[in-house]
Amino acid sequence: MEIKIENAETFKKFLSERFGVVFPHEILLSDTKGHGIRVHSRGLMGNVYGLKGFQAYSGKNGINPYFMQLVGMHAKKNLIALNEVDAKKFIAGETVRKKIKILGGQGPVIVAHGGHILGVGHFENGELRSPFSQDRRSRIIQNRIKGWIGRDL
Amino acid sequence: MEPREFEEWVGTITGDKEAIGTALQQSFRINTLKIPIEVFDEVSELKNKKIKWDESGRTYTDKFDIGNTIEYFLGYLHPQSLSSMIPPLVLGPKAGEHVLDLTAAPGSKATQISAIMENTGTLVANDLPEKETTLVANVARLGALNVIITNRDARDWPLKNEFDRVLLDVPCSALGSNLNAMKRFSISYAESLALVQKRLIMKGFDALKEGGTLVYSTCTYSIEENENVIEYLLSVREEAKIEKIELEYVPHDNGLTAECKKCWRIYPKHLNSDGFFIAKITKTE
Repeated sequence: MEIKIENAETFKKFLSERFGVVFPHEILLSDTKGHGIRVHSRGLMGNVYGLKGFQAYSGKNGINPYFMQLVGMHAKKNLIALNEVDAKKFIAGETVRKKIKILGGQGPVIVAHGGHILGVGHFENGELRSPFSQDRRSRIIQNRIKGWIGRDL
Repeated sequence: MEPREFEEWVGTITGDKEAIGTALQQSFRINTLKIPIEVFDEVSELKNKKIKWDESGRTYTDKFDIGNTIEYFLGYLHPQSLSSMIPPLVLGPKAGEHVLDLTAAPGSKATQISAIMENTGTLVANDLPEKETTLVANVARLGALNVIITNRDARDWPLKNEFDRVLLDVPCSALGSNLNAMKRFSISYAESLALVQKRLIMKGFDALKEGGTLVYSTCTYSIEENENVIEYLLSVREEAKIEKIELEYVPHDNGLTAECKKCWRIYPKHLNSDGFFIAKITKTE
């Protein structure tokens, strides 16, 4: 699936078509000048300059995994659950080889483990690419997956 | 100050030379914006202990780096000292209100305020441009959606009569959170910081609506940076009134001057946590 995200409206449409995410009424997506698309609650006061909410999407870095950790639980499709071995790889920034069926073609998928949304990955040609960096900290965090008890989404 | 001189000075301030010598307890706050407390308790393997005055605050003794845990990665918790969790509780923001955190970086208290407000209303989190990166990162990781981040020098904060509540956790000599800070500490240093703090408290107070609440806090012990700043505000703003802090189960000493008896001084001996000074002030009509 080719992503053509130009503004908050098309991003919202993409999230709906790709993941079946229906936004709660109190959450808004807004266009900003030079700061991508931002997510924030409804009813922020006016007359104040500054960055409202946090960046949900930018053309450069794609979908913010922290944004997906927030809204991923509302997804109805293209949400894949990784086993412990693969979840560790994903957190550590490694590519996971996996046979999965994707609705709407190759592209972003929401990644979960044990009922916890880890973030968003890019699935293409049997490979799930992780957005996280392969640094020392990621390798330490991945080992915390062991024994992680499941959570209902 | 030299360690011996500092110890004696602390004794004159606290009335107890041992007040700040206690080993500090490690702690974190469960981020209710991303996970309900009961679910966190069910799924997390981090051994922790509850505290009496805030159900989201926890202490722990295990030797692990909290920033390297899966719970941190998922934004389920935020490392924060026990005493640093108190100013937002004293502020007591309500859902839907307009709140200002004038010196918000790195965002521990700001995101706690956001959680108390359940992501509703508006929280304006301000700090200098060079501190914005950590503030933005914490706001995103913890999923705070009711935040507007601004990067003004707080001494030049322009908005007046706008906010229901203002948190002012000012830059200070940090004797309560960093023992090495004693090396550069002197009374004249505290007096120079107090000049900035007096300007900041004026800006914070003027940003309040009538009937609004300001919480002023520092992580230091000097009277110059604490009681003197509060008394300065009371002397120049007749609508400023010190309020009693209503928070149960938190051990503390009272402020050191007659006018500031309602203020709190929290020393490491009280909570095994950082030293703090907290004042609650309302803008009367």
